[in-house]
Amino acid sequence: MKDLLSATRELLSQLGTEVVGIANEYSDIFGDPTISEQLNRFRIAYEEAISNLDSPTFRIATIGTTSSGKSTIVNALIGRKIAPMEADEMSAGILTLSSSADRKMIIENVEGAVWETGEWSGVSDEELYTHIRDRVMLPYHEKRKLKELPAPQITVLGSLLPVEDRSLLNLPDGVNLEFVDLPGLKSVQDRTNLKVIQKRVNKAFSLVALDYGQVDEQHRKQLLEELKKVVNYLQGRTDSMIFILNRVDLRNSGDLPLEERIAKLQVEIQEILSLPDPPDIIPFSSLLLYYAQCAWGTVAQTEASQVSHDKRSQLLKAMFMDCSGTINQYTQGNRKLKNWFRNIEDSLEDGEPVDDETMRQILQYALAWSGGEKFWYCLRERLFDAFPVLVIAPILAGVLESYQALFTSVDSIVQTRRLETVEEINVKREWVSQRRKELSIRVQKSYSEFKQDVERIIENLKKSAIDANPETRVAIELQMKGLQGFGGLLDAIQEVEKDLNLKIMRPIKDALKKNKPSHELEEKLLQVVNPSLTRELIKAYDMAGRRLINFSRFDKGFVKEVREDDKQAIREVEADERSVRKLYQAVRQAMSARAEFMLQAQSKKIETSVQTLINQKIVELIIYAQEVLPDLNLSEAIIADFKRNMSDNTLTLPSEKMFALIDPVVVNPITAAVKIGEEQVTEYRESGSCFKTVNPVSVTHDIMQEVSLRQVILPDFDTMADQWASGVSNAKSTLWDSLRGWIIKYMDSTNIVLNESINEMLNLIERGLQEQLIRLEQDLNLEIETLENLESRNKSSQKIACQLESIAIKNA
Amino acid sequence: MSNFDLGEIFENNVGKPLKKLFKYGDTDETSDPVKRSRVLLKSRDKNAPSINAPTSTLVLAIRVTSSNIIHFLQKGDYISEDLGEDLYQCTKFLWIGSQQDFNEQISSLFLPYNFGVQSTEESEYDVYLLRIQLRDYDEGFMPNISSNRRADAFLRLPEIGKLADISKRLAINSCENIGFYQC
Repeated sequence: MKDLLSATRELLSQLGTEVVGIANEYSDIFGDPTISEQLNRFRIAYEEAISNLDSPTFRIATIGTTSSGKSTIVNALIGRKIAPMEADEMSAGILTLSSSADRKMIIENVEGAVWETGEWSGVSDEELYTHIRDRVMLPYHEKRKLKELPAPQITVLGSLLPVEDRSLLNLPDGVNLEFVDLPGLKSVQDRTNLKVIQKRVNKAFSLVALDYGQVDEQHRKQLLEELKKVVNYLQGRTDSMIFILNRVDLRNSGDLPLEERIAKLQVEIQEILSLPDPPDIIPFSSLLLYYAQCAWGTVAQTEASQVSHDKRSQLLKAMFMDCSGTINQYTQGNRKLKNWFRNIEDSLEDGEPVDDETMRQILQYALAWSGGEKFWYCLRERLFDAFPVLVIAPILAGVLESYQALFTSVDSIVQTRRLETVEEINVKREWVSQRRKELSIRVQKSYSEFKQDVERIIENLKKSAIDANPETRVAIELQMKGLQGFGGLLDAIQEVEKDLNLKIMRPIKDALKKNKPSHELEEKLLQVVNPSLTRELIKAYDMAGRRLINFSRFDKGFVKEVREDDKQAIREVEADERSVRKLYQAVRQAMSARAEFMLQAQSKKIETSVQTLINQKIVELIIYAQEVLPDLNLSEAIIADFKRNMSDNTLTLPSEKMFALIDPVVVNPITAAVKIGEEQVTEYRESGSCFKTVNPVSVTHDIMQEVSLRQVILPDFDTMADQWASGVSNAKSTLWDSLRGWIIKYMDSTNIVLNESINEMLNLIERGLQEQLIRLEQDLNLEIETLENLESRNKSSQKIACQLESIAIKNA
Repeated sequence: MSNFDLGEIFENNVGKPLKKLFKYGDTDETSDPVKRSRVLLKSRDKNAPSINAPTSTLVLAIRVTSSNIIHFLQKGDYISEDLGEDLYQCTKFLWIGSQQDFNEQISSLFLPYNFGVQSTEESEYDVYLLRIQLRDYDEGFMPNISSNRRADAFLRLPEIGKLADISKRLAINSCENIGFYQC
């Protein structure tokens, strides 16, 4: 890594010197406005790259499944207790631990923060820990039950073990390290937070923590599914990933042998994440390493520890208490070692300090027994491969693109300078003018075709009401046209619909049908919906459930009839209606939030899908440009300029609000005869069989009256779920429209960038030809030798750029 | 054809792994999938619909990008109550009909060697088909049903359905115009 970094710095510096040298020597060529602008862009990118290479940062993100002990792992690896370890919800924010000579904590002032924000210097680790836990995570955890909040973003600057002891990772001097402790997926249910986290994860090497307690037959499938979601939703880079199977100290004698368990898990993880090779899985006991490493501190073992005796004693006592099982397991059969540990435990009880030499030995054992040693070895090896991809390539990307654009433009101009007669120049001018028209027509045609294709595809996808299988028909059409890439988009939308069905609609419907207690439903919903929306939904669920008891069952619904003139009854029935509407509103809000989250989770898939589709069109155009512009290095110049300009034009998924649900309440005004009282009347009835007599009889009659009633019909629980499902299904059409707009907007901007690049480069050539004409007329033409010298210098700079490129993409 | 035993190849590649997956009853060892399904139907419990029951056979199409579930099914691992949920999430389109309709319209897609329908140039739109024998009629698998009822039906699948066959990787156009509808 050290050599690679030095070589990169050296080559980049050479490239800068070469380019500056050429620019100074051939100032007439570099005076052209386009080339001058490209030189300026190169200069900015070059200076930025030089500065970034001076102190590059290697980022390690910890992600993981529920209760996998991510924060304990982070603390064990940095040698400090900073990340809150008590409960998952205490690690709900984004905690960045960055190597620095200063000790500082920065809590970003994100919008809506209900916790303290600002900067603190010179704070002890104990104070940092308490502050993060009690004054940031706790208020965040409490307040997000009431309203949606952005997650806290905390940066702690200070010493980190792998930087203080660079031998652990063979980290070259000057390379900074950053650990990013990210919340579990359970604490991230909204789009905004997911987006922030995705950005941090996809630039980092990922440590993925798994809980050993979940790998048994009963829980493994669930664990693997959660893992798949964690990695895919957070957009972890599967090429730069180590899995840590934490808490292996929980193993008992009846478990499968660890090697066998890990081998099985490797196959399963490889399959579920579609990895090319079996992944590295390190069995780990983070608690043991955490106690021992923090009792030593962040410095290398060759130096004197900075940890106070009190702190060390406290941590070691806790280690003996919490990790006695592991210590017993590894000292079994070695009486001497067992006694050695016992003596230390006794000394601690007697209040005697543990000296550095003894501590070093304890740490060595802890590293070996906890899996720490194996972990550092594995990360060291992997870092070597990941360093060019994760650190060097992103730094060099901008400067190499700018260089390529500049180099190809200069080369084009050099070719105009080789024209020796006015006739030759005039022929080329005519040729350029002709090609400008042809190229413009072709780009426009290709763009229109693409636009029509997208329009038609999306219109077809919206035909689900009349076509039983529109997606298949579209997929067939796409395949016939050779257009790959749309599959991800087709899958993503269907996946969102199905997720809403399974994760939101179904649990609510089931709870309503079985009259389940609200806490059971709440538990399920909290897995996918943020606490404030879940709270609203549960309130609405409770209220609607209580109100519907007073209704009678009726075909596919519930019915209640009340007299219009009974004010109390009308008020009651209106409250009933409101409760069901409130439930619908809460369901709609929860579904919208979840759909937004799911779309964000799949943003990479959708964006890649659309990008692949558009790239196919661009490749077509590039091939065409190469065919029609074989001379003057023109097509290369256009492509290089286009690529550089497109790097600023990234594709990001738009935000969407969706779902409209129909009004569930049907109110019918009806009239019916109702009893309003009774009256006594005398009726005359015959009695007797042979000698009939007619006698007066007093009878009671109901007094009936036609009155106005309000009949309220509410859907039954299955119909409710059908109506929610139909709301989602209808929204799909809106979503397709929105995606169509988004794709076309992106294609529009691509089209503009491409046209700009074409015009820019053709203008450059025309100016070059004009300049050459003047030179010929004034007999100022550069000598062949000078041109060859320029070309040769250009080539040597190109060689340096190629070497840099090969470093950047070596392992990509 | 005489150089290799189709039946043996089918049995080794498809039949044996599938044997592990049947939730009730034993599988038939016959190599011809059509004959096999007939024998299989005879041996099923008395509640099974007759061969001509209109909805005895369910076919699910799963896009190749979700092939993980196919691998799980082929291995016979992870068959659990939530298989229905996984299948609901992965199914792109489906078909339901009588065994007779299946034999006439769909069964050729399940033949181990049917070069006309199998994907020769791999595409992201390719699919695998799963044949599931249903014990009970379930309207949730019918066309034009709400997605809520469809999800319910899939969740009942571990109780009422029995996985009978998995096709080879098929080109999407082989599933055109034979009555599949969106899941």
